[in-house]
This record gives sequence, structure tokens and C-alpha cells, in this order.
Amino acid sequence: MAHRNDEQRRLRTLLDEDAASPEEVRALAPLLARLRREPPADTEERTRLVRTLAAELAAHPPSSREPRGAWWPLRLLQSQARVVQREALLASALILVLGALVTSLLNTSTDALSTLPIVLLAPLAAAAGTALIYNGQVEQTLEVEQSTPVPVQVLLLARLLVVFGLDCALALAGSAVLALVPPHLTFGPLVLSWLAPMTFLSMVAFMLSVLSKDSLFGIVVSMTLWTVLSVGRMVVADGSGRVWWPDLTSTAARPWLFALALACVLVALWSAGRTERAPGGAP
Amino acid sequence: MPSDEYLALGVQQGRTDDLAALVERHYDRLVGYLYRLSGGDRELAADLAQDTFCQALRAIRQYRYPRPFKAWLYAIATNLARNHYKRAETRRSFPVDGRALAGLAEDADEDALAEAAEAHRAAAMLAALPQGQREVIALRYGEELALGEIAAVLGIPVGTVKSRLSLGLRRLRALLERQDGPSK
Repeated sequence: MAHRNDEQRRLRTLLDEDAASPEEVRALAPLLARLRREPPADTEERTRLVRTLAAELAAHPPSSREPRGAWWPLRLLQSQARVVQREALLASALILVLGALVTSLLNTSTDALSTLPIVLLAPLAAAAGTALIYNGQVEQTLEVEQSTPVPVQVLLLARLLVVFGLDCALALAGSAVLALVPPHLTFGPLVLSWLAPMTFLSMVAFMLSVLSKDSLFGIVVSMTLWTVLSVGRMVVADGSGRVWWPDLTSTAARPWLFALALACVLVALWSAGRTERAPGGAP
Repeated sequence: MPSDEYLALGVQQGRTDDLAALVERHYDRLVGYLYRLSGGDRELAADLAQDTFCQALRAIRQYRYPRPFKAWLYAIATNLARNHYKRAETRRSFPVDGRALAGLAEDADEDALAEAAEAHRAAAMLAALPQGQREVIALRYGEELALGEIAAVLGIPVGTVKSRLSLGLRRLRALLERQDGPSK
């Protein structure tokens, strides 16, 4: 009885998600509940099948081979690319294109790289994308993959690589265009000015979303951090200059930012692994 | 308990106990899925389920880790069901009698018999839907698969799964109303 009630509750939840209206839910719930009832099981039939298949397997054993071939990492990346939210990637692309467009319209010299729109926007776009890796909608697909022997850390790392790689590629493309059109910014310094803060902020957002299990938290905190640091620095720079303010786009900060980004990834993966091992605790 | 995928790797290496475990784990549910797809034909569902496992075993080398095994197995079953109806041109000629109840009739009590008859009628009603909508509804409400999993089984985008689900539910409701009169 409890089992049947539980089943009906689950069916109701699915119908609430899918049906167009509460009336439709009420009308269809009884029919779908009847539909769920399994036909009578036949144990003998199943045993006969097992015997037949076992004989077939013994007669024609599949050649033993390493199941994870050389292309396994590529297949893993492909499988993870499927679950990345396309809307998030499109939004990142739009932000970066706008950033590149506005930058090209401003007649900025290479001296003021840290205030260029593309340098300010690239880390924000990437951070939002990496925070969404741990989004609830994506977790439905994660459920499928949690039943595989691939550790959740490897899955998250693959997904991180896909999202961050695409954002990097977009920002690189934008920088290449900016190097070609007037006022001809220098490609190398331009890339370096956004790469370190982008890596740092993305990994902070990723870590926070994994730790809090809430992608919105990761997005909000990383965006606030970046806004306070970049806008605050501009305000301070316009004033007396006596107040110290961290400059994440400076050359001196880059090694620290990459090191901190690496630490954030390690903490996030460690945390994801712990959650997976906790009793009954899927991430 | 080893995952399906781990067991599938075992089958690839020729382990019969892993094969038996996979059959034990999935056979009854698979018969249930095919029973719904076939409009309540228990015999046909069992035949198709057995064919599915035979085909899966023959193609086990093509199983690619880390693809979820269940989605792979159900994709084979769905294709076999489609081929059956295409070949036999019996797409709309589902049985409406109580053939599905035959296994129950001898020793089952009246409640079980009535329940089986209801399940059979529901499956027969599902059979009135177009194939795509029928598959999506059987996977969603029979197997409780998430939308992403259904998309993986049928090899279609999640958006298409949603639209087929929505159309299928609307159509089922219309069928119900035609049968019982409009709901108040």
C-alpha cells in the first residue's frame, strides 16, 4: 500500500511538471497510474532467457579488449558537451561579442588595457558559465552518469574544460578581431590582461557553486567580487591614489591568480568527491 | 551493488554472471515497457524483450562506456518494436482482447484480474497515439525516466521530447473524454 502511494506521488510529480493544467493532471492521473501497472512477471521465462544468453556468450565470447580506448577522453568531453546549457553559452558569446564591439568603438590605447570592456566582461561571462556547470537542470543528466564508474570529479572536470574552453576560445577570437581592427591593440598583452582574472574568477564561481550546491550563489559572489575590485579600483585611481586597491589585471598578480584558480578547482573536486561518498548523498 | 555499466563491461569480457545480473535487473521492466508500446500484448512484449537482450549481447562490443547502459538497452528495444510494426504492418492493429490476462486467469484472484484488465485497457488506449508520442509517454510514466534520459534513448533533442509529451497528454485526454464524456 505504501509502495503504491509512493508510486502515485511520483507519478503526480511528473504530471505536475509535464501537464498543461491542473485539470489535465486530474484527468490523466488515474489512466497513467493504470498504465504503470506491470504485466505479470514470468520467472521461468527470464531464467530460460538467462540460460540461452549464457550459452550464446560462452559459444561466442566478445574479444577481450580495453574498454576505454584511446578516444575515451574525447568521448567523455563529447558526452559532457551535450549537457552544457546552450543558453548559458549563447549568453556568454553575446556578452563577449558586445564587449569586443564596444572595445573596438572606443579609441583606447594599449596602456589602458585593464579598463577595456572586453577585459572587464570576459571574466564575468566565463564565471557565470562555469558556475552553471552545477546547475540543477543539468543534474538530471548527471543522475544518469552517476550510475557509471566514472568518478564525479572526472565528469565535472570534463564539463569545466568544455565550458571554460569555449569561453576562452570566444574571448581569444574577440581579441584577435580587436588586434586586426583600429586602434590595433596588441594581441598578446590584451589576451594576458583578461586570461588570468578570467581563470581566477571562473574557478572561484565553480568552487562556490559546488560548495554551496547553488550555481546562483557562485554567480552572485563572483560577480560582486569582480565588480567591487574592478569598479572600486577605477574609483580609487580617479581619487588621491593613496588608498591601496588590488589590481587583478596587473602583471604581478597573474601567477597568484593562476595558483589560486588551481587551488579553487582542487577544493571543488575534493568537495564533490566527499559529497559523492557520503551515505545516500549524490551531489 | 555494481552499476549497469560495470556489468556491461563484464559482459564485454565474457562474464556470464554479469550478463545474468543485467537480465535479472532489467527483464521485467523491459517487458513492461514493451507491453505498453505494444498496446497490451504480453506475448509480443516478451518476444521483443528477449530479442532485445539477444541483440544487445550480439552488439555488446559496440556498447561504448560511459554511455548509460539502460538508455542503450531501451534504444535497442524501441527500435525492435518499431521494426516489428513496420514489418508486420500492424501498427494500428493492437489486440483488444484479454490475451494479456491469460497468464493470470488460472490462479489469480478477482482483484488481480481486474487490475490486469485495467492495465491492459490503459495500454490499449496508449496504442491509439502516434508512435513517437507513445514511446515518450511509456518511458516517462512507465519507466520514470528524466527528459534527458528519454532524449538519449530515442536519440532526439529534449525539446522534441517535451513537445511530444505535451501533444501526447493532450491527445490522451481527448481520447479519455471521448470515451467517458468530458470531465467536469
